[in-house]
Amino acid sequence: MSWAGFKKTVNRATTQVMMKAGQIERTNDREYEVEERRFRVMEAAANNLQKEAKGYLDSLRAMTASQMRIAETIDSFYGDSGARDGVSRSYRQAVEELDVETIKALDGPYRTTVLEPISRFCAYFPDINECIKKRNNKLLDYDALRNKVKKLVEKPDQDPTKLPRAEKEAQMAKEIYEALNEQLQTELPKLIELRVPYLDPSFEALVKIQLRFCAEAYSRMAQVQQYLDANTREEYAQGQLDSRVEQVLQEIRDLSIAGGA
Amino acid sequence: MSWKGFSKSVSRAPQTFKAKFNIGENTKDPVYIDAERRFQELETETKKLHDESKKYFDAINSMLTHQIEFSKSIQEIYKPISGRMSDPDSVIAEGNPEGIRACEEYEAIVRDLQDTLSPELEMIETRIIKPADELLEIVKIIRKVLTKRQHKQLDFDRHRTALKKLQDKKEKTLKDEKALYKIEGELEQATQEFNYFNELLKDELPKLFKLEREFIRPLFQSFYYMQLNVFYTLHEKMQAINIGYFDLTLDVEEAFSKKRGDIQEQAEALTIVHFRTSGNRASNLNSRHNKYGKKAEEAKKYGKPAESAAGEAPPPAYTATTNAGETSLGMSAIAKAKAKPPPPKPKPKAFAAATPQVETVTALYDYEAQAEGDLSFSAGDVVEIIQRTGNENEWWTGKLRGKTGQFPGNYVKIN
Repeated sequence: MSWAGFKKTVNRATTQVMMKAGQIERTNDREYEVEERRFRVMEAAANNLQKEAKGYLDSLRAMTASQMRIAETIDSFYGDSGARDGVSRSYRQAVEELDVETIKALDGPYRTTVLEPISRFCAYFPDINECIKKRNNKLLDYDALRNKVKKLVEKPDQDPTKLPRAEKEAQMAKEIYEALNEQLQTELPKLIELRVPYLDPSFEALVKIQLRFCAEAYSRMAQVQQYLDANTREEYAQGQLDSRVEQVLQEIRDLSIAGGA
Repeated sequence: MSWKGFSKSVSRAPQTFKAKFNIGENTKDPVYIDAERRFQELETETKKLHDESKKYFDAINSMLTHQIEFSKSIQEIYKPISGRMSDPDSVIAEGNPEGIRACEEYEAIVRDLQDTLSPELEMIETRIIKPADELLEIVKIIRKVLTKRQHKQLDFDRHRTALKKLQDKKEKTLKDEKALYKIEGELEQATQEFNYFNELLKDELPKLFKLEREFIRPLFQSFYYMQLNVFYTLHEKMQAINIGYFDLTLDVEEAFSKKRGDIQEQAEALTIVHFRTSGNRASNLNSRHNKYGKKAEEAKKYGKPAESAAGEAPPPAYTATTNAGETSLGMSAIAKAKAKPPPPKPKPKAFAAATPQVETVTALYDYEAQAEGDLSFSAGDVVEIIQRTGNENEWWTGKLRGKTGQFPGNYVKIN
């Protein structure tokens, strides 16, 4: 921090303490405060939105990625027998396509229509917060200077130039503060009003991307079915596959190296 | 480790060392070695199967949760925002009631989806993850047997070497004779033990491999059908979405830019969203302020950022439709050509593009890399141009601080 900045911080801290103690009058601008509170509500909601938008993409990616690794594992388990019936191969291919083509194809639109607009909107907040902080600081400065003027009026100083100088300073502080206040007060509601048209298109885009993903994922998956025996489906529905799994597991347990027998 | 285990490992230490560096005689059974290698593969693959199916299960769950949460958050956005929460009268008629209804409908669908899918997902848990888990347990037991065989092999080699050494000795003392007898006995035992484990493993590991294959087939088939069901349900339920709020006939990006119009430009015309860049100028003024005087001029300058920002505002002359059409066309063309997201919406900035070849450009805005190969910079940075087109709405290639990368041409100004 620069020396000037440090001095300002110290001065403002003092002003705040004096305000708490009732020594300095505080300016209250209720209209502005309402807008700032509204802004805070919007900020929280938008940040949440950003988090969820990111989370959705991440979990989608995680899903297809683990699907792919499962497919690789199964393929290697199948070994040579996999090449014969082609099931594991075609499954692996379907899953890979899903990961590479579908996700990659949806990734771009998702970024441009969901992730980036939302992030961009959220990126405005630091600037606005900076502006709010500055406004509050300037308000403190103004209050402090006004108090100085008040004191000088009540108890004139020996130096006659002091009062006009203080008045001038206070006037200047007031102008800065009011310019900032005005700016925030007119622009915050505008931004708050823009939030719906700004973010709304992303919602529709998200839903559509989901639709597309689901449709493609299903059709890719369904293609694998042709490589499976027609009656496997029956077996699955009747739980025969599970009992088969159980049975084999038992056989493995019965091996003497597995502690059986 | 027990005392017995410890003393065993101490007595095996020299042989372990020898085996590692292949000194002296070490038993090598190629059949077994191959079986062991396969077993190791099986071990890692089983583990992978187990972990990944668990991850898969979690990912689907979290995907649905994020969908719901997203809808909830956007609903917060749609709701009218009041500055005085406790005062219901202060709510101004704003926000987006239709949007809220759409959110509710959407959320209902996703919740329904979650409920429908939960038994399916449960099945992944009980029928895939659990068996894989059990197999993993068995594999661990078998791994112990393998270790035991390894130890027995060390014992066998160790005793064999010791015996050979004694037998080779020319003159044997009485003590040596005794030791010889003892070692012969030990070797006999070690041989028996080693052979037992070795044969057992050689016999049963292939059985295990075969069983594993038999195990994986129904497991995979089950998994596949579960997955198919999951996707089917997802597809069906999502397809049934009939929320009038969404225009499902249009392409994603097209509808987006149509709905969006020039809202971003409108928002960015506000000064407060660029406060840190334009605000800097204001603070410079303030420091001069301390030196008094020139009040009028300061005030004028102070208002300037607002003016200049307003000057950057887009000409609102475009009708929404042509604007949308153009943008989406350009977007998809670029997306196709470069397989990369199009540059974030063109920022409004009018300047003549047809300047003859110049070396550098100055960044107008901060740009953060969004993909590998992008070049990040902050406003004011001077970027050396490596390659650029006449169209500022395309990606250009440049070099900054030794890094080369692409960036959207509309983010910079040609010097």
